[in-house]
Amino acid sequence: MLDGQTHNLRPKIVAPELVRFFRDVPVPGKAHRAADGRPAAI
Amino acid sequence: MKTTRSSDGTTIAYDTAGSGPRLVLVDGALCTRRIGPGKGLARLLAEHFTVINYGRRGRGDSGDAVEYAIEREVEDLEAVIETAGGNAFVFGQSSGAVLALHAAARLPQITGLAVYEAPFIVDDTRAPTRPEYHEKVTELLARGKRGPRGAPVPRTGRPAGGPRRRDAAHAVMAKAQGRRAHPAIRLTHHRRTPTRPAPFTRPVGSCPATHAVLCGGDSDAWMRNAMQALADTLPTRHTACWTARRTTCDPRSSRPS
Repeated sequence: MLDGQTHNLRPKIVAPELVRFFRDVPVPGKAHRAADGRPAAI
Repeated sequence: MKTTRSSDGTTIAYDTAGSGPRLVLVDGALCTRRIGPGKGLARLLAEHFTVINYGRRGRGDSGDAVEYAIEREVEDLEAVIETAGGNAFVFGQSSGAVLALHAAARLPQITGLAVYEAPFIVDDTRAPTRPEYHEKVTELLARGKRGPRGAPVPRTGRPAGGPRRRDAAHAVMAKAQGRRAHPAIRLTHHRRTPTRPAPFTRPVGSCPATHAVLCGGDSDAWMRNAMQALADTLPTRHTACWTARRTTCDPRSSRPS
């Protein structure tokens, strides 16, 4: 693997996608809210 | 810069920025905390997360050990998460994605995981790495051989990515070497990361954390195929693939976790 390969990871594209994904993943110990702002069960 | 200590005593350096849920960035093989996409990602993500950008062993300000095992790197990541507060989301790219998958299978402290282009080879759209490659690199490094411009990875022949990509990788390595006191980025480490023939069997396929699988739409077919195969295997909640020129993301497929 990684035989001289490169990736095309563009932070300005990937960062919003990570925000979009992780905002809906519950954080242990914290009240979680769904994407629409409603409280959600963990 | 802050430091923590892994189980085997190796010092692991890391930076933190921002506030909010903890998110640990796991770099690829050719990256350090300062070189590669992690720095830019950390800056952008700090608006939403407490971002922990750490140096994998053998890179930058982090220490290293003579013998390599992926379990030691999992312990490094565990130490970083424990030091940061006990649990975290993790984002891994390239070989860092492979490491993150292994870690998520073993560490319940990882509560969410996103991976970008884990370089698994799942079909014949790319020739497999030559069987002797790892042994050759290890042998050359043991003899003190280095790559062009002092890069720590010696030439071992024509890689599958072609000379252009090889030179780009070496240039990054040389840059990394010039900015650090540590002897070498231990690319040999990653030759031992399992990629073939069944990369998604245990423990990788048993990750309990919620996943996102990401790839660049302009990336090589073998890479996109690998990420699709990974998404099809894991309980992935989100899959995204972009073209390089797009500024918005189109989920290619999505399945409930």
